Amino acid sequence: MKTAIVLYGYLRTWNWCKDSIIDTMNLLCGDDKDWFIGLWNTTTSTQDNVNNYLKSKNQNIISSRWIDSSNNLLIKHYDTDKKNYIRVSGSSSGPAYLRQLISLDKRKYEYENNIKYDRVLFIRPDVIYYTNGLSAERYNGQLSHRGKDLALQIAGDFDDYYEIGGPSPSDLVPIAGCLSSDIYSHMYLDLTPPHDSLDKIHLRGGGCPHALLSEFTNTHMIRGRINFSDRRYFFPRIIRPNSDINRILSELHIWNGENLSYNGPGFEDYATWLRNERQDIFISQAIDMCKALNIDLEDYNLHVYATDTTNQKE
Amino acid sequence: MKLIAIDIDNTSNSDNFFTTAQELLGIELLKLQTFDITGPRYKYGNFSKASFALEDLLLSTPEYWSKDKPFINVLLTWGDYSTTGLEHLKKYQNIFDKDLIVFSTKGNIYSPNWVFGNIVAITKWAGSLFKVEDDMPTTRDIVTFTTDFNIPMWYATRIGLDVRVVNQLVNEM
Repeated sequence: MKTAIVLYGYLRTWNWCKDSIIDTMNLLCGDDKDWFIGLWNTTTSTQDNVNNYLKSKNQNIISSRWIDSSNNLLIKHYDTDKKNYIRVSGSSSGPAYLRQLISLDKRKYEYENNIKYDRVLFIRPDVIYYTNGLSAERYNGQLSHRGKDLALQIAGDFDDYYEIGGPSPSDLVPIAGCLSSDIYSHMYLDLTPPHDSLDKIHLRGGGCPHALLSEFTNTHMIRGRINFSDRRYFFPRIIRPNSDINRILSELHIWNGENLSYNGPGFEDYATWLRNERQDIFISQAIDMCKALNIDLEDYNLHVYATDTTNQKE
Repeated sequence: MKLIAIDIDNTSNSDNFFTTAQELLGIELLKLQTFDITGPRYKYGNFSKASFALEDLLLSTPEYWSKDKPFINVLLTWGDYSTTGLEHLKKYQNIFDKDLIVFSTKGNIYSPNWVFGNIVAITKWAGSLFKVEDDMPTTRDIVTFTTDFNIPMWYATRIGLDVRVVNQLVNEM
């Protein structure tokens, strides 16, 4: 089963997560996988550093783009339209823009080389993966009986449970069949004014990017999967600069599959960051944490506050 | 009307067609590209090849989807370069954004000549057609048509486009 891995977004805590990401992709996909990379161009790392690290781990990179966030034309467009800008947040249009660009590279590569990827995994650089008895056989076995896989997996597991019109999907580790991945990657075009779905989104929950994803996948007949069982084989976790990374890494492979979603101390770091990311006291701490880890402030949109502080001093 | 016309089969006799489109009908021809059908090719491969060019254009030119500018339409042709059909094309220059207009001299989906629509609609539609295989629709998907062109039309509805078939002969009457 030939897999395209799309690594995209802000690098953020990539340096903490990269080994878990590569190990897990090796576990899930074996050797028959190619990497398509589209990362926002910040000082957190360089294109050479990221590419060379992946190559040192025997990963095959087909395409690598390092993109300035100002290239997201949709942001520019909605910047002059405050009403709609609120409804299409950067956390929706930014990733959609990257998916569109990377997908274009991928489709051209497929066309020119007369191949099709059986599936596409969309992954973030700031996520690590808990695994519990995970194997490629189990993973492929769960997917293979679908035959033509038109499903987009939007939860972090792969039980074959489909739903339409259900809860808003997360974007932690979507996986799609060859056609679904391309439809999913065309979402950016759907956000453009001639084709926007904004009125519907407005009705469903304002500018929530998850509502936007839900609307898009439902209207395009991309079936989401979500896991409601008590035990899991696989769980993605976002890592923030305030995460206790050494403790978390030590837990990855001794996890027993219990649900980690909404309880347990393991997620206090994320909840703390989320609750306080607009609080003045926490912002200064967050800036210090990023600087200590050589993470570009833009990766967490903190550069806005740093600039404000500078201006105030002047 | 601002139009990007693409002859996806690189037919030599299309030159006169496009000249007429520009000179006689007042169609502003923004771009004309033709593609050879040699090399790696899937069943609907040339549609994808056209979409690659359109997508590059869209992503680098926000004016093409700005609310403040007239929308750009795209015409894909692969045969029937009679200029009489262009009169029909003019009638549809103010189409809805999500319409996919299929022109057919026989008035049905069996033998389409051209496909016409907003640049975003055409790009989305053409973008992944080479991935679509004849046996792909499942029982959960409604297949409206039963011809060689059924899958492209099924795909159009799947991505939210409204397919409209225009019978050029009937319209002439």
